[in-house]
Amino acid sequence: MRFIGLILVVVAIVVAAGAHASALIDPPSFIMVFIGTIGALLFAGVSIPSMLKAFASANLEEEVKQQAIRGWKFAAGFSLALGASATFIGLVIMLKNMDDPAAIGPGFAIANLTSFYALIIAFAISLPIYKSLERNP
Amino acid sequence: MNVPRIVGFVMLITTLMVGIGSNLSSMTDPGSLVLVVGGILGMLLLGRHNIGGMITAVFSDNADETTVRQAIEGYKMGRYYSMAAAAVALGIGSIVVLKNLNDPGSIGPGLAIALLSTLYALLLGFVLFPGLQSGLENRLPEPVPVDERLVPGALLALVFCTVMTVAVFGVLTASFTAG
Repeated sequence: MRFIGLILVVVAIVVAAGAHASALIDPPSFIMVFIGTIGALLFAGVSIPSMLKAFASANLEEEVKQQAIRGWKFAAGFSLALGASATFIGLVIMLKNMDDPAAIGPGFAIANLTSFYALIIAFAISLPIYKSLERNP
Repeated sequence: MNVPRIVGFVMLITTLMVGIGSNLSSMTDPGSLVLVVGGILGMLLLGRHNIGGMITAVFSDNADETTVRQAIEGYKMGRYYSMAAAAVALGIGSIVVLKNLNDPGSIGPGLAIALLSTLYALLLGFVLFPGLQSGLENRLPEPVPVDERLVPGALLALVFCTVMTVAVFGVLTASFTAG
């Protein structure tokens, strides 16, 4: 069921963006938030296999479930934090290139799309998963 | 520190570098670094936290439980202190900017300094310290729940950064088109 939900969220975003959907994809921002969150989770010593197990299957042992709740909460926190940091990185890039309008674009893309990706990870993916895990003890 | 955690740390730094790209020199500012790191260290010392223990607990795997618990407490407070350092840095940065308002050329660099200390504080307080704290909590015999304020705090930081970006960019664009 969770796969259907994830696909529905992605489809809803793409439909809302319509013809501008390609403007929502920026490889540097994507790498900073998605890969960066995975890196931060590894650094925090969170069990990523149990997070994936909790995403895919319904019947879990108690210990795996607790580790998954912990992992998805950290995923939400880290993605928001990396989004905030990357927003400032984009802003500084923009400020440094104020006299060169062509260079403002990439900085602006990083500044805004990272917070967009961070909000998707935190509130469209992690929050529903860890709340549902907490609800079914 | 085991191998996956070191890999994760390297991944984190590399992904940040991907976004920064050729602008690395504009991302490093010694003054901001001294302000943030020095501020956090000073506040930890004022709070009588065991800084030596905080470092040894992370790097050696056979630290005793008391040291680990003290280190967890230290990193937990470090998260709050880094936010305090960011607030101080923003205050100093805005004073620098406001002082040079009659010289538009120095607004950009001044603003960048104010933003860079906030950036360092964000990376320390919301990524590095929670990561180290969580790694140490895994070593305790009993399971430790995640701090309930982790996600709301990070959301607040994101909202603040986004509003700040839009405001700064809007003001600068307006001043460029007007002048």
